[in-house]
Amino acid sequence: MPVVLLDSGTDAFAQSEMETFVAAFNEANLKRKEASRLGHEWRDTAKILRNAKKAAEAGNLDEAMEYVEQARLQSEMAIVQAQREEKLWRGRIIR
Amino acid sequence: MKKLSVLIVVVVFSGVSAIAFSTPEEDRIAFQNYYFSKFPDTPREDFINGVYSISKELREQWLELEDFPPYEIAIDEGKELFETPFANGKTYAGCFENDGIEVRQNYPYFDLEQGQVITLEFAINQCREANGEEPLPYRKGDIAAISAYMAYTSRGQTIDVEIPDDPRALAAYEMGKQYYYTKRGQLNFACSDCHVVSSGTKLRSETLSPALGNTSHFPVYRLEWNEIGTLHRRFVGCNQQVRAKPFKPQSEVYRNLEFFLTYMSNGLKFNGPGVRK
Repeated sequence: MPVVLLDSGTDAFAQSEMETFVAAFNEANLKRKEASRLGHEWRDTAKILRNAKKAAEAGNLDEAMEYVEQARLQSEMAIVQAQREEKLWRGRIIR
Repeated sequence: MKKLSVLIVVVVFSGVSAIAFSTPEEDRIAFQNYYFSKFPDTPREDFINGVYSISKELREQWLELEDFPPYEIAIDEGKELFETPFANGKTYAGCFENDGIEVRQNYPYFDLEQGQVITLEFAINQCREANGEEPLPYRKGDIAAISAYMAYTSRGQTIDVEIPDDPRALAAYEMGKQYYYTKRGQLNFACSDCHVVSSGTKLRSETLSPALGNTSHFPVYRLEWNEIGTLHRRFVGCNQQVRAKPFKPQSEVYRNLEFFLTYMSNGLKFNGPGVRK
């Protein structure tokens, strides 16, 4: 997933907000990739990150951050699910 | 006290090891007995008809569909594709035993040379590539039609998946089994949640099918798809329904899943292609 590019024409405050967004986006995307590596990525996480990118590019950083937060939480829960299931799945085998 | 601790550790680990290493055959017997007990009115051989084996009402609707089965066109198309020579003049028949007729029951199998599970659709594409052709997309279209034709010529053949005495084959089976029983996706569902624990119950308007016999009738013409599609297309759909990111059709994960699931139905008959809601 491509990282959002910073717009060099923005003022210092906007630049700082954008940097915060990019860092949060990258962190959420890394967690998504970890969930994927474990075979447990959720269906909509990548789409939510794409929505975040679109919102950021349209200048709606608050909305973009909400999307990023949602994607981050999904990925964290997917990772927990993968770790938990590694232990629990055998309990469901028909015996 | 120390002796008691050692004893407890031994007992605990013995228990774990017994759970962890049930053999495929022990799994299969328990799996089939579960459905035989859960649906005592269903004749054992009838589980190949999926949800129509456990619901009288749905069975009547399905039998009406079978009067003029919508998959017939796919069988005809598949036959034509199967017999059409590749650019090099050879045909699919040259890649399969018995010229590809009545061979559905040989799939899936674990290929010791390749070290992986080979499904029928995977073999069809391997055949194409060996003859210089591009592989076909795995969800629907030509590959589903060819598979439908090959399944049709194999109706009535017994499902008899073997797991060779090779650790890679057993590992593939175990991976398929783990996938089947693992919860995934935002809705936190395992395949087994719907098709084992809840089989026979309603999920909205749909009755959930028993897993026993689940792979016998593919490829299927689904009214929802309005066309014929492969088993792995259904795997993708199931994963999406629980809001998990699906794997690619014919990925190692799904081939192992098919290996496990088909082994669970050993002893039943292949009856594809089928028609489903």
